[in-house]
Amino acid sequence: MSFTVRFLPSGLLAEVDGGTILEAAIAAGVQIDAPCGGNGTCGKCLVSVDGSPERVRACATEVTRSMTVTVGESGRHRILTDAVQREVALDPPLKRVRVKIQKSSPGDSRSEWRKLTDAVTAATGGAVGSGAVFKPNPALAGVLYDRFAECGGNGGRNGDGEGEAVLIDGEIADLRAPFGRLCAAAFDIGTTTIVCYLLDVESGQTLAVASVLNPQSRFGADVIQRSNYVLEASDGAQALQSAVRSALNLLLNEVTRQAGVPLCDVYAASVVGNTCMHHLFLGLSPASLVHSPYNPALSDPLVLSSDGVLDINRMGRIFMLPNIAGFVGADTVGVMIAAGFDQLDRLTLAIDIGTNGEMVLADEKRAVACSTAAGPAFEGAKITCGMRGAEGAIDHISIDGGALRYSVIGGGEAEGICGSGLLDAVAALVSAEVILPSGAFDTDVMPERFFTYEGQPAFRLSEKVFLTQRDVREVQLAKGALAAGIEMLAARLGVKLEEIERVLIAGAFGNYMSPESACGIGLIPAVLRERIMPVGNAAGEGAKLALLSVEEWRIAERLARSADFVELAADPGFQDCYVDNLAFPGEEE
Amino acid sequence: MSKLQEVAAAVEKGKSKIVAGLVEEALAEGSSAVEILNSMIDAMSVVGEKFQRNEIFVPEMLVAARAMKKGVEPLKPLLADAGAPKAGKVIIGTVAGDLHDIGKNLVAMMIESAGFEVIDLGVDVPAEKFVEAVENDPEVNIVAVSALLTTTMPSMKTVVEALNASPARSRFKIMVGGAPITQEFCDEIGADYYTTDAASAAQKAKEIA
Repeated sequence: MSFTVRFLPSGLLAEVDGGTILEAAIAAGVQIDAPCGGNGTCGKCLVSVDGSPERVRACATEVTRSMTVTVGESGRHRILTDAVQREVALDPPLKRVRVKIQKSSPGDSRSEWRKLTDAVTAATGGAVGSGAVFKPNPALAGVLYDRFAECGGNGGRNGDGEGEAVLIDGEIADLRAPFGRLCAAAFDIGTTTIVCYLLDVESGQTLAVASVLNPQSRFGADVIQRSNYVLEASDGAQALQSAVRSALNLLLNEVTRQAGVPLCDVYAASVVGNTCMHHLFLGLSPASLVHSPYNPALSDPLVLSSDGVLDINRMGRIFMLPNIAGFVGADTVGVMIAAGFDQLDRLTLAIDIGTNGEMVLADEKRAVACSTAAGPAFEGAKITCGMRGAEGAIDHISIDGGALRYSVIGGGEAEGICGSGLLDAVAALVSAEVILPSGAFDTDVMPERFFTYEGQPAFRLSEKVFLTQRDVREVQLAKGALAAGIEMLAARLGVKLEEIERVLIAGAFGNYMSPESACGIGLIPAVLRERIMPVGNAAGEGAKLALLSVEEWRIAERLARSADFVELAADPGFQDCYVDNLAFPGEEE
Repeated sequence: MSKLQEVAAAVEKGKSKIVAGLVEEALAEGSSAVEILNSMIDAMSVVGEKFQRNEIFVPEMLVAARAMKKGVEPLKPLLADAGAPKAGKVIIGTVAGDLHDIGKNLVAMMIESAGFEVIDLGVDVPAEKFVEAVENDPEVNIVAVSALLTTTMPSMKTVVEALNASPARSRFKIMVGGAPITQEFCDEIGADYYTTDAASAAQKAKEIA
């Protein structure tokens, strides 16, 4: 009798009649580190079988059935960020097991469902679902008669068949004839942009990425306006829900097309987003979010059936990560799991700078979070020459001895200025004392660059691009809110700012901003300058991790529960702190 | 520069750390509490004018308003004794469902700096509380209502409706403001005046009191 052994993450197969897993690996061309040469003494050749969390020695485990073997070190998922490189053991909530559909004989009165659960239990040696009875799944049981037939042997009526049972979150979600890659899609629903990552959950690889502007924008640019639409229009909730769902389905089509994977092989999706995006995706009323005390309707993690929600396999599941509070959502929880907040060994601040600047300050024991109304200045909105970080945007600026230099994305003529360029411009002008600590221009410094625009002084950066006094004020209000948020969180934990050992900046702006400039305008305390690290789209990484590791999914719930939310608007000290942080660094006149 | 001018300059520049000290010094030099208050009120009206001319912006106004507040603190007990004349009495608050108060506080400070007595009901204030406050105080001649969120605009409507139904309605005016509020909305809900910012709110209060 021969068995099929599938090795992950390589996907290589071996057909063997028996022998050890190590021998099968050699036959398949899979390298397993076994320095003792298979003598069973070094304990280095650890693998896991059929997704079991227990690891066994490949050299001492016999192949007695078809199985999927996940190989040690390379079975770990590396997060692709420079700053918080950490490794997470690959143990997705989505797994498949090869099952034998035995020929039924007269007198076997088991139900179809029971026949399946017995087959799954036999295939996993009781490991999956730890031998317990699987939760009955009527949607699957109802189609099993045909599914068994698809697996060969006319569903066990004529002979044995073979199929693959898909297990999600410990439940049997589907049974099919053996198929290609087992995939899942991670979504980061931003107010402005939605990103989708298609993952092969057995290798941990990202197969494709796509993004699209959030089509809910036509109902309002920010979460308040969109919530208001839902509350005012009779079909509001439905309109916003179907807008976001069609965008997610569009992205699913795109990533599966890129990767050459059929949609029906995508069995799970995970979703992060701010609390409002979370609610609108689920069709929940945002009423409680936008009236004090601004609490979510639902914060707990949630596993939903995909049927009728997303165009992945309709037997699939959707994992909704938990929220922390009304204005600190699952996207922040995503940042926390990506940055390893469950195993912090030092005081760490994570900031996600978007329209709202959400931030979390935590050490090994405690975590506090808040949301600051930073406004869209760093996204290029509300700035006279502002634009997104696309071709033609000034992205960096410096002033050295009165000489102004800048770089333009794409290298052509400057058409506008994006967030990182704006930050640099203000920092350089503060440092050159063109902008006074109060935020006012001193038009006597570099006078040749000043002109009047709509009655206000404006500073020319390039032929077409300039900065007005009002633009500087927008930056000032944004940085004051963010800096005050940092101070309030530190005060809440009873720590000094200089005790913060790491500052992780998430989001696109964080990736491109100069830490020097962020400290130069006082957005981040100067004492932390050497400790600032960009971490890319950490919220999206968190959504991926929830699909690649059951443990990380559980950690998300724990982190969301343990984080204390600080409502800045309700804190009597906030206004003072905010006003204190409005001035730019420098000597007062 | 005289001490009074120094006090005014400190308020205008928003030097909240030194302003209280300067006020004490001015008192020690013999200036009266009312004189000192007036010099600060003048400074704030300069701030308001500069704001309206786009010479200064919200950050500087917030800083100046805070300095004014610090400067008034040592004067308060003295002013109460002096029975200083008032431009009027204003009740102000942010509507139910809304916790935002930085804009409302700025308006309160600018109105106070214009010589009014201001009773601040705080944030998340239900309609009944506005009505109760104005009915229990016959001196009140302006009620100022703030909402920052689009979603709390209906609360503002509720407040204005409740105030319009009050038997005391003839003796006070209703002012509304906040980021999402417009003149059209003000007219629609039956409020008396809408102003776009704290400086024009203070100016309007002076006109109508």
